[in-house]
Amino acid sequence: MKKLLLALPLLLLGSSMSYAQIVSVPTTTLNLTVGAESAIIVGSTPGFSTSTAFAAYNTSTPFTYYIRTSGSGAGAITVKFTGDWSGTAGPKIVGPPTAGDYLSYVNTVSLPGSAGAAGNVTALNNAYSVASFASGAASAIGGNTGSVAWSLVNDPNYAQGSYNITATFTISAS
Amino acid sequence: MRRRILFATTSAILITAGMACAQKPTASTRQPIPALPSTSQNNLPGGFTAVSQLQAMPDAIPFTANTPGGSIAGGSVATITWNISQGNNGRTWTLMVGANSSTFLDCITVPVSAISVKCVSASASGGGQTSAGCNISGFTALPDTLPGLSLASGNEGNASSHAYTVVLSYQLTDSWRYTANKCPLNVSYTVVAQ
Repeated sequence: MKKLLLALPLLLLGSSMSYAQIVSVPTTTLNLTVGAESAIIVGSTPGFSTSTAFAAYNTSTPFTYYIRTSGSGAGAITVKFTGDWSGTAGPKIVGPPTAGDYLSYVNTVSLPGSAGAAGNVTALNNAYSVASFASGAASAIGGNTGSVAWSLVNDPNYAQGSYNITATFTISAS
Repeated sequence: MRRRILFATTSAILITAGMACAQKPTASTRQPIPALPSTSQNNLPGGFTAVSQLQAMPDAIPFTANTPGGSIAGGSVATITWNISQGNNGRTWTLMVGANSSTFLDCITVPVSAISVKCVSASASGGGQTSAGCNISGFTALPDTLPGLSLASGNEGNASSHAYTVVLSYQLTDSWRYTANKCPLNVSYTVVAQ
C-alpha cells in the first residue's frame, strides 16, 4: 500500500510536466522600400461644340491618375502643347487671327490632388499646371479622377473647316 | 488518515513543481523564452523535450515596392533552423510565424497583411520517426499577432538530437495606397515542441 501511495504522486508529477516547450527567436526584419510612383490614364476628348453661333467652343478631357509621394516629396500633373493647331486659317496658339483668341482651361481634380489654377494657353512647350500633390499623398487603389475643361474663342475669322491640336499630359511624383 | 494526508500533500507539491518547470503551449502574448546561442539553452529539467539553436537567416530581407497593384518577391528566402533533443516519437513540433504590429514601422499606410508568407520546404535529420512538412504551401497573409501562422510541423522523433530546417518565402502586395518611404517590419518565429 505504501508503494502505491508513493507511485501515484510520481505519476501525477509526470503528467503535470508533460506540457509543450515554446521557444521564440529573434526576428527577420523585412526592409520595405516603397518608391514614389505615378501614372495617368487620359480619356478621349469629344470634339469641340458650341451652343449658339459664335459662342465659345467647349469640350473637356477626363483622366484617372494614380500617385504616391514620399513624406518629403510632392507630385504634379501638367499639360503642354508641343505643336499648334492644324491648318493655316483656323485657331492658333502662336499668332492667332485676333489677339486674345485663347484656348482657355479650367481644372477639376479629386483628392488627394489640388486643382491647378485656370488659365489660357499662350505658348507652346509650356507646362501648364493641372494638379499638384502634397507630401505623403496616396491615391485610391482604383485611382482618382480629374478633368480639364477647354474653351476656345469662336472667332468669325476662323476659316471654315476642322482643326485639331494635341495636348500632352504628364504626371510626376517624388 | 495520516497516510491520506501524506499522499495528498506529496501530490500537491509534486504537481506544483512539475508545472513550474514546464510551459504551456499558448497563443497569448506571454513572454517567450529568449533564444540563446548555446546548445544548452532551454534544456528543461527532467529530460523533457528541449528546443535549442533556433536561428533565422538572413537577419533582413529587402523589398522594393515599385509596382503598385502587383506582387513583389522578397530579396531572398528565410531559412529557419533549430534542434530538438529529448523528443518523443509521436509528438509534434510546430513552427509559427507572425508579427506583433498591424503596420510597417514608419509606414502606417502599409498593413502587415500586405505581406504574404509560404513554406517552401521543411526537412528533418536524425533517427526515430522524426519528420518535417509544410502546412502552408501557398502565399498566405502574415498575421499581425503572435505566435501567428502554423507554417510547418512534424514529428519530434526519438530522444536524440534532431536538426530541423524550414525555408520560407515572403511576398509583398504593392498598392497605390502606400505612401513612399523606407519601412521595416519585424517578423517573429516560434517553435512549439510538445
